[in-house]
Amino acid sequence: MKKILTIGVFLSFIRICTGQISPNETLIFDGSYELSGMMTNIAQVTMQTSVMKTTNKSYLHLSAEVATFNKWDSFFKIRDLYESYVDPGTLKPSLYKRNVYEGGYTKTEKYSYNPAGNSIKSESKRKNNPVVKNTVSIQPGAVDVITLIYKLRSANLSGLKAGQSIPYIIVFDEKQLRVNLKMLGKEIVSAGNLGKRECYKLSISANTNKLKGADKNLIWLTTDSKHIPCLIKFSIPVGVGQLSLLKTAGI
Amino acid sequence: MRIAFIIIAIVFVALTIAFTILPMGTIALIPVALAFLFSFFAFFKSKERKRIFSKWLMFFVFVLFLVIVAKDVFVKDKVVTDQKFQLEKQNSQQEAQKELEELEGLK
Repeated sequence: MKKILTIGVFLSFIRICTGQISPNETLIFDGSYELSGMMTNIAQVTMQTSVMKTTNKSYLHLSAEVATFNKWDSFFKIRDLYESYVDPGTLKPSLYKRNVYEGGYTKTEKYSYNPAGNSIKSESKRKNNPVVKNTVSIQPGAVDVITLIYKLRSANLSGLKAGQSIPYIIVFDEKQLRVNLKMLGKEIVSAGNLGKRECYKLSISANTNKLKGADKNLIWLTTDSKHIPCLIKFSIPVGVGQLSLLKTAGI
Repeated sequence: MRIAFIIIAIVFVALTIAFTILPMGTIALIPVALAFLFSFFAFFKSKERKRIFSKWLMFFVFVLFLVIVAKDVFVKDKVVTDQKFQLEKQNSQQEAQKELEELEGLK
């Protein structure tokens, strides 16, 4: 009886962790950037999930692709790919890959997580420089930036009151960063083909100079169990921009 | 004063042309509005027999305005499929599969 109860609790935990993330989900965003005080559409951001199977295991492949619209390609072409391979049950990452092409600048990055979750082996390469290998100690539970979005989507946000925060630790550019997501309240925002949706409004802050201003980096997630990101506003050293949800599929 | 307004209007017309060629979207409405304003001032300050140039300038600015609006309405934002990028994505997934199997071997 005790065993059945334990299994039951374990299975319900897995359901809580992954119930919201479908394995063939696509979210397409319009990426705009503030130029001369006006938001201008410059790129499309596609977030996808799929199943990756190896001989022994099954992983959830999380990816985010940034591609400039063709009118911008001749001036400043961007083709960025961020990927993370995570455990479908716990969203614990095993492998993270980043492939950046931004107006001629290239960067590749790969983190292989130690199975114990306390270190990563990183490999990075910038432009024509040689590959740099490194081992970075991390706190157990530290995730990459892509996994963070899905972790947040799997979190129970209904219990959070305005002003309360959820802390996360992420690894970005081979450095550990503390990220805090503070609940600001609920708002109704446009969610592309989903129409208008009630969303949780969360403020993102981190111990880095890459995010500027207080409550200037924001994310709106639907209040339903899927917690779909509908709008993301960011303020970084080079400017201000936003991602607006355009289309969804396979949710 | 009339000459100054004409020069300023021409500068904003040049900026509008540059913004229209570049993918600046509706940002081009800023210089086009200023170009119209200064060409109107030039028209207002001109004597009747000297109004022809500022008239043509205003007409040209109006055509540019139509081009900007038409571009915004009819030219849709789309991403061109990049074969090289698609290939890189496929390769990345194939490599990831091998790398994950190697990581599983570490356990």
